[in-house]
Amino acid sequence: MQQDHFDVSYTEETAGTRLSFHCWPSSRLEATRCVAPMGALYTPLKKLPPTCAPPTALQYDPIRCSTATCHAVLNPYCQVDFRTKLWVCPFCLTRNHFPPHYAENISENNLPAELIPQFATCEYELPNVPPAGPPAFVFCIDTCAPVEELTELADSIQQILNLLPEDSLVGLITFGTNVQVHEIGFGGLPRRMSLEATRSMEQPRATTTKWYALSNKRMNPLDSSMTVESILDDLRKDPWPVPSDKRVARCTGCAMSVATSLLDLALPRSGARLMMFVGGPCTSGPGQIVNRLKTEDMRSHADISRNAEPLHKPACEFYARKKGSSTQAAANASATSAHVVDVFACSLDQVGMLEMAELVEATGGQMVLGDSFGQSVFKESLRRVFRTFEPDVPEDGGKMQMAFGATLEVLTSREFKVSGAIGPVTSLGKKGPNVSDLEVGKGGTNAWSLGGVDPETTVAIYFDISNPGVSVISLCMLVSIAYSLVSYSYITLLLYSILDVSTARGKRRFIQFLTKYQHANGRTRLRATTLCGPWYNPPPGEGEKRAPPQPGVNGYNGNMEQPSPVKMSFDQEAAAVLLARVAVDRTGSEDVADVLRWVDRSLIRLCSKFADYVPDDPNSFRLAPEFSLFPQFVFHLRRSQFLQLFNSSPDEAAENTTNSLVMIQPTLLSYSFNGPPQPALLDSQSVRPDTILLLDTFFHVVVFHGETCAAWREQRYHEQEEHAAFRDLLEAPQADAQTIMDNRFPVPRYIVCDQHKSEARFLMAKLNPSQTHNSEGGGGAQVFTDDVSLRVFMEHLMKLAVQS
Amino acid sequence: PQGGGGAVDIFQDNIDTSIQAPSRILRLTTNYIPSNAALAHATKVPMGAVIRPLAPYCDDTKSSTDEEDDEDVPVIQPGAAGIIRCKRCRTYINAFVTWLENGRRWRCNICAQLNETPTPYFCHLDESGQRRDRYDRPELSQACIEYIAPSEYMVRPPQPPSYFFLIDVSAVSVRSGMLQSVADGIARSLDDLPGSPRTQVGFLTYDESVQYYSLKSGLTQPQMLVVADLVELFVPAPDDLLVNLQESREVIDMFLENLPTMFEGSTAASSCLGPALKAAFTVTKHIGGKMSVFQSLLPQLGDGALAPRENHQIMGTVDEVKLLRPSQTWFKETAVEFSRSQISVDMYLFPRSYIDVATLGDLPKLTAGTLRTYPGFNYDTDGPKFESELVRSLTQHTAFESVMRIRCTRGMKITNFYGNFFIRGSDLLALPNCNSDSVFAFDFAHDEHNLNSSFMTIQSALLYTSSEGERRIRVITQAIPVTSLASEVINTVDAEAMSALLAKQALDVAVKTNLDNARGKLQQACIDLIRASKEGDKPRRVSGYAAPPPMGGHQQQQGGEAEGEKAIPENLKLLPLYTLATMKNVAFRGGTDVHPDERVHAMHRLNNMDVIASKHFVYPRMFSLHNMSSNAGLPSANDADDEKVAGKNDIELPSVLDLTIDRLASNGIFLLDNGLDMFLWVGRSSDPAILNSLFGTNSLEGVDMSRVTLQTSGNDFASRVNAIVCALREDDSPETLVAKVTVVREGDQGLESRFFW
Ligand SMILES: [Zn+2]
Ligand SMILES: [Zn+2]
Repeated sequence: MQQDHFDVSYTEETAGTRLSFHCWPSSRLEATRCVAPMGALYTPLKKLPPTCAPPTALQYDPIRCSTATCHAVLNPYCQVDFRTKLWVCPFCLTRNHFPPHYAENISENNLPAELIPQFATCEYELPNVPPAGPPAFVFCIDTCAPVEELTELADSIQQILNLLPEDSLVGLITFGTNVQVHEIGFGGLPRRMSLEATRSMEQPRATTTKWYALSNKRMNPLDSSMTVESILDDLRKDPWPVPSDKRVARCTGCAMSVATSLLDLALPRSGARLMMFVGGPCTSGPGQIVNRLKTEDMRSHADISRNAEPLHKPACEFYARKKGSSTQAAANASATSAHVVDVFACSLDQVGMLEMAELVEATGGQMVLGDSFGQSVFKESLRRVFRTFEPDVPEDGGKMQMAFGATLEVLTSREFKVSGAIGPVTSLGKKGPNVSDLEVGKGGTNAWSLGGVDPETTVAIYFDISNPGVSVISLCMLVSIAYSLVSYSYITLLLYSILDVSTARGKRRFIQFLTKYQHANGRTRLRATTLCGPWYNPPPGEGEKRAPPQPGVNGYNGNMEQPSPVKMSFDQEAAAVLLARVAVDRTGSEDVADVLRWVDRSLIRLCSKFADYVPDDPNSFRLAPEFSLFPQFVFHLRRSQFLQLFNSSPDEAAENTTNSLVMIQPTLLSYSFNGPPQPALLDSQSVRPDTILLLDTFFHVVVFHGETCAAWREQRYHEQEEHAAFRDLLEAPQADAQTIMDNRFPVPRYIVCDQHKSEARFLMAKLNPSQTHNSEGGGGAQVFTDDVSLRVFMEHLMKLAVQS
Repeated sequence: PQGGGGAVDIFQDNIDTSIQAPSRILRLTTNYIPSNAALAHATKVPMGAVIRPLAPYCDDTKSSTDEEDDEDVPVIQPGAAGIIRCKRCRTYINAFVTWLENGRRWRCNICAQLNETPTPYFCHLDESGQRRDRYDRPELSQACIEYIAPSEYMVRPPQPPSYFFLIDVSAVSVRSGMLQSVADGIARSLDDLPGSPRTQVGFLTYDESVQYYSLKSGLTQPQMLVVADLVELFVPAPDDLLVNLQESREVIDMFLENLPTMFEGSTAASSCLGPALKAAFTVTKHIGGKMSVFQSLLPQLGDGALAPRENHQIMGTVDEVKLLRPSQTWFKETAVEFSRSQISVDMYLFPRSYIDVATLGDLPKLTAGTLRTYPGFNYDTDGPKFESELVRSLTQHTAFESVMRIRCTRGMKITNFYGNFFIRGSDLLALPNCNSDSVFAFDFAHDEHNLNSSFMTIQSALLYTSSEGERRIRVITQAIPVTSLASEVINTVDAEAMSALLAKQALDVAVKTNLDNARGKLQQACIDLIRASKEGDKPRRVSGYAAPPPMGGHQQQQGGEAEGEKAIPENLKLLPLYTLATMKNVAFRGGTDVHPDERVHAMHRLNNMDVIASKHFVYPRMFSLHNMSSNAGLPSANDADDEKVAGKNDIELPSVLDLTIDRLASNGIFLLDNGLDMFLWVGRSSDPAILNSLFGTNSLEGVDMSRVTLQTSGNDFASRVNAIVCALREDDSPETLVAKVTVVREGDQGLESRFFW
C-alpha cells in the first residue's frame, strides 16, 4: 500500500474498515501528539466485492494459530513456508504446522482461499456448530395505544409477516394493565397466557418460567404458523378503565421481562428479535418511569442529573438486567444470547427510551422514536429491519440481512493494544495481552458482544500505541538485559520473534477482526478481516512542533516541504466519527460542557500539529486537503443533537446515542431554475424565496420551500402544463429525499415545510447562524440562536491554533 | 279471656285449622305439640319438620280442577301500609294472629306483642273475631304466601342471575367424556336459564393452571386467557369474563362447541381447584350467583390442595369417621367467603379414585349448593343421568341472594337446622341460592316448661331475589295444636317425616362422634317412640317422677307385637322398618366395604332429601317386571293412589315387593329404585323372550355386562319398562331426570353386592 497516495476509501471498500490514520506513528508519544484517536471504524457484515473476499462463505473451520493466547486466523499476511508446510502467525510470530489436509496440497500455485493475497477478509460457515434453526420474532405490542394506532400497527406487522421466511417462528405478546402471551399455531380457540404486572422485579421471570414448564405441552407461544394474523385482527385496546386523573396502566417492563424470559426458555441459543412496540411510558410494574398519577411529571434531564427522579435509576437497572439471565449480574450473559431487543416507540410523550437504551444497545437492537405508528418513519424503519440481500448476491441472495448473537474480537500485533470500542457493543471482559490500560469507550477487553447486527453495523475500535518508540537495536539491548534474568529458551523465543518482526516482515502492524455471528439461516459464521499497515518512525526533531520558529523560511514550519506519511494518511471523516463517538460516549459520564471543551481543545491541538502556519499569525493558517474539512465536522458535531441536549427529551437523546454515528455534517442541496441542484452552504444565506432546499441531517430529511415557491405551489401552478418546469422543480428534491430515506436506517423523519411555517424550524435550527438577530442585513433569513457561525468559529480556531 | 297473673293463655284458640301448608312444602314429624316439657320428654317424640320452601307446585290434586287458581303460592303486592309485621319480633302477619279491639290491634302469635293495625290495613272483624276481608287477603287466609318486597328489603339492587362454570380439564376429564357431557349439558340449558335477558354467564377451566375465557360479544371467537401463577392469581380482563348470555350467545355457543376438543391430548395429571375457585370468586363476587364446579381429580395444587388420605386400615373402626370429616378448613373458609358474596356452589365430582368428598363437600354444604358424584364416570352410561341432573339444576326455579329465618311461638325454640346453608348470627340461614329442590329440616323443643297457648306457630320467611330481579319474601306459617295428651302427640306422628328427620339427626351424630353412635341413636329413637306409643295416655307421671314401667315392658323392646300388648299405632307401624333400613343405608351401614367418598356423598344426599325421597332412598322400591300386569307401564285409566302410579302421565307401576331375598326368583326380572340409582336384577333362568325384548339377546350368560344396554323401544315390553323407568324419575320439575339403570345378572358377585346393599 502506497503511503504517499493513500486512498481513504480503499480499506472501506476492501475490508469494511476505515482508519483515522493509515500510517501510524511508531511511538506512543508521537501518537499522542497526533491528537486524533488512533482507531478503526469496522463494519463487520459489510458485503465485500468478490475481488476482496471469497464470494461465498467457506464451508470449513478456519486454521488458527496454535498459541493459546493468540488463536489468530490464517490470513494472506502470514508468511508461508511451502517446503516445511509451516506458517508464521503475524501476531504472535509462532510457527504453526499446517494440518495434514492442507499440508498435502498446498503450494505457491494452490492456495486455500484464506491465503489468496487479496482476500484479506474470509468468512467461514462453521460446520461444527449445530444449526440454530430459523430466527424467531416476538412482537410485543402495547395495547394502551389508541385504537387507530393499534390498527396501523397491526397492519404494519401483518405486512412484516409476509416478508418473513416461511420457517421463521413468530410470537405475540400484548401488554397494558397486564401481560398476555398469545398462543400461535393452535387450531382451536385463541389462547392467551396472562401475567399480572407486579411490582416485583423478579416475579415476571419466575412466573414465566413456572408457566412455561407447566404448559409448554399445551400452549405454544412460538410457532411458524400464520394464525397470528387473526389474533392481530382481534387486537383490542386494553380494556381496563382508566380514571381521569391517572395515566393508563402500561407494564412495559413486565412485558419485556416475560418476552425475554420466554425466549431464553424456548430458544436459548437461536437468533431471535424481541420487537417492542410502545405507545407511552411504563407506568406500572418494574421498569416504571412515571407515576400513574398525572400530577406527577415525566422526568427531565434536569431531574435526572439532580438525582431527583426516584424511578429513573431502578428502571435503568431493571432493563439493563434483561440483557442476560437474571442470575448473571453483568451484561456478560448476553454475549452468548442471540436475542435482540428493538424498541419502536410511537408517542407524543416519552416512553422510557433512555432507560431501555442500554438493553437495546447491548443486544444490538434498534430504537425508533416517532409520533405515530402511522408515520412512514415507523413503517419504513420496521420494514428495513427485515431487509433482505439483493437476489443476485451469491449465497445470501434473498436472505434476511439481520444476523444474531455477534461477537467481535480484535487481535493486534504487539506494538499496540486495544483501548476499547464504541458502538453497539458490550464488553466481554476478555483480558488479553493486547488489552490496554488506557480505556476508551468500552475498554479493558479485546472482545465484545454486539448482539444483533446487520451489514450497516459499524463499531469504532480505539488503539493505544504502546510501543515506546525504541528502535530494533534498542530492543535487542533490552533482550540482552533480560537474557540474564529469564530462562534461555524463553529468551530465544523472544529474540526470534523480534528479529522476525524487524527482518522478515519489516515494520508492519497487523489487526485482525474476528466476528462470529449467527446468520439468518441459523448457521454460525466467523468472519476474519486482517489489516496490515505501515509504521512511521519520524526522524528526530520532526515531532517538535513547539520548537522556536525558524526565521527566514517564509514563516512556515518545516512540514511544508516534507509532509509526514502519518499526516498524509489522515482520513478526516473516519477521524471525525471516531472523535465524535468518544465525545458522545463521554457525555454519559461527564458534563456536556466539559465534553465540548475537550472537543474544542482536541481540534485546536490537532490544528496546531498538522496545520501550516507562522506561529502567532492567524492569517498564515493553512490546512492541507486531508484536514480541510475536519474543523467543519467538529463545528457541526458541537451543534448536533448528540451533544446538545437542549430542546430534546431524555428519550430523544438516548435514541441518538444508540445509533451509529455515520453522518455528522448535515448536507444541504439547493434546487432552483438556474440549473441542477447545487450543494449549498449550511448557512441562513442559502434560504431564498425562489429555491427549494433539501436538508439531510441523518435523522431528518427536510424539504424546504422558499416562500415564493410555496406560494406558487399553493396556487397550483405545477398542475398547469405551461409551468412544467416548476413541477419538475417541486418533484426533484422529493425524489432525492426518497432515495436518501430508502438507504438509511433508522429511516429518517421526512419533513416537508415552507418558509415561515412552524415546521421550518427543522431546517433553520441546522443552519449556520451567519445572520442572527444580532446582525443586520443580507438576503437570507434570520436564525435565532446564540451559537457562533462557522466563520467566527474558524477565526477563533485559527487564532488559538497558531498560538505559541 | 285473659286470666290474671303469671302465665296467661294469651293466644286465641279459635283459629282456622283448615289452613295448612301443603305437605310438599312443610311436613311435621307430629301434628300435635305437647303442652309442656315433661310431656314431651315422656312421649319421646322428636319434634321437627322438613321444609322445602320452593317446592314446585304439585298437581296431586288435579282431580279437583276448581283449585286451578290455587296452583301456585299467591303473590302479594303490599299496599300503602307496607308489609305488616310484628313490631317486636318482626313476625309477618299471618292467618293465625289474633285480632282485637275490632281489628284496630292484633296480637302476634309468636311473641304475643300487641300491634296497632296501620290505618290503610284496617278492616272490621266479623262475629267470629276474624277480619272480614281475610279471604281477599291471602296472607290472612293461607299458610303459604309470597310478598313482593319493597326497597327496604334490599341491601343492594337485585342482581341479575349469574351462572359461572368451573371445569376441571385435566387429562382424565377429557378421557372420561366428562368434558363432552358438561358442554352438552350446559349447551342444552342455555335457552332455559332463568332470568333472560339479564342472565350472566361465565366459564373458567383449570388443570395445572387456570384458564379464563373472554366472551365479549362481538368477538369472532372466544379467547382463552391462561393465568400462569397459582399464587398470585388475578383477573386478566375487567368485564368480559362474566357476560350477558343473550348478547354473547354466539361466542358462548362457540365456546361450548369447542370445549370437548379444546383439551384433547392433554397430559395434565393434576388440577388446581383451589386457585380456580379463588379466580372464579374474583370474577363473580360483585354479583354472586350460581357456580357449578366439575372436578375429576383430588385437587393437589395451590390453595386447598388435599392429601390422599384414604386408609383401608381404619375402615370399619371408630376411626373411620375421620374420613367423613373434612381434612382441613380451606374449603370451609372459602365457602363462608362465598356465602357472604352470595355465591352458591354446585359441585359435580367425577372421581376415578379417592377425591375426598368429605372435605370438598364443605363448599356446597355451606354455600347452599348441591353435591353430586359420578364415580368412574363413563360418557355412555353416566352421561345422560349427569346431564339431566345438570340441566335440571341450572334451569330450575332459583332464588338468589336469599336468607331464611324460621320463628316459632314463644316457649318453644328451634334447636337445630339440617341441610345446606351457613348460619349467620344465631338463626339466619344464609342461602346464596335456594331452589325448588332445596330442602331443610329443623328440630324444635320446649324452651319454657309450659306452653301457654292452644296453638304453636312456626313461621319461615325466605327473602330472596327472583331470577326476574324482584325482591320477594316467601312466608310459610303453620299453626300446630297443643295438647296435654300423649296419645294425641303419638298418634299424629308422621312416620315418614319422622324417619327422614331421624336420619338427618343421625347424620349429625355420625360425623360428630361415629357411625356406631349414629346407628345406636336411630335404634334408640325408634324403640323409645314405639315404647311410648304403647304406654298411651296413662298418667304415668306423679309429681314429675316417672312411674315404674308397666309389667313386662322390658320385653316389649325386642318383641314388637307381644301377646296381649297394645298394638303399635297404625301411623307408626312402618317406623321400625324405615329405621332398620336407614341403619342399613350406605350412609350408616357398618363393615369395611363402603368407600368413604361414597358414604359422604350418600350422607350429603340424605341430608338434603325431602320426606318422600328420603323414604325411597332408605327403603328402595322393588318392582317385579317379568310378571307385571298388562297395564303396568301404561298411563293409568283410573285415579290410582300415589304409590301405584308415577310420572306426569300417571304411569301405572308394577306392584311393589318387600325388600327380602325371598322375593327374588331365578326366573324373574326385578327393578330396584332408591331414587338415585336403579338396578335391574335378571334371574338366571329368566324367560329368553323377555330377555330378548329387553336386551336383544336370549341369554346374558357370558355377556360383558358393561356392554349390555336396556332397549327402550321396539317392543311392548321394553317400551313399558322404559315408561316405568322414566316415570319413576318424573316429578314436577320441567326437567326430567334420566335414570341410570345398572343391569345385574344373578350370580354376578361384584354387581350383586351393590344390589343387595
Ligand atoms: Zn498467533
Ligand atoms: Zn311478635
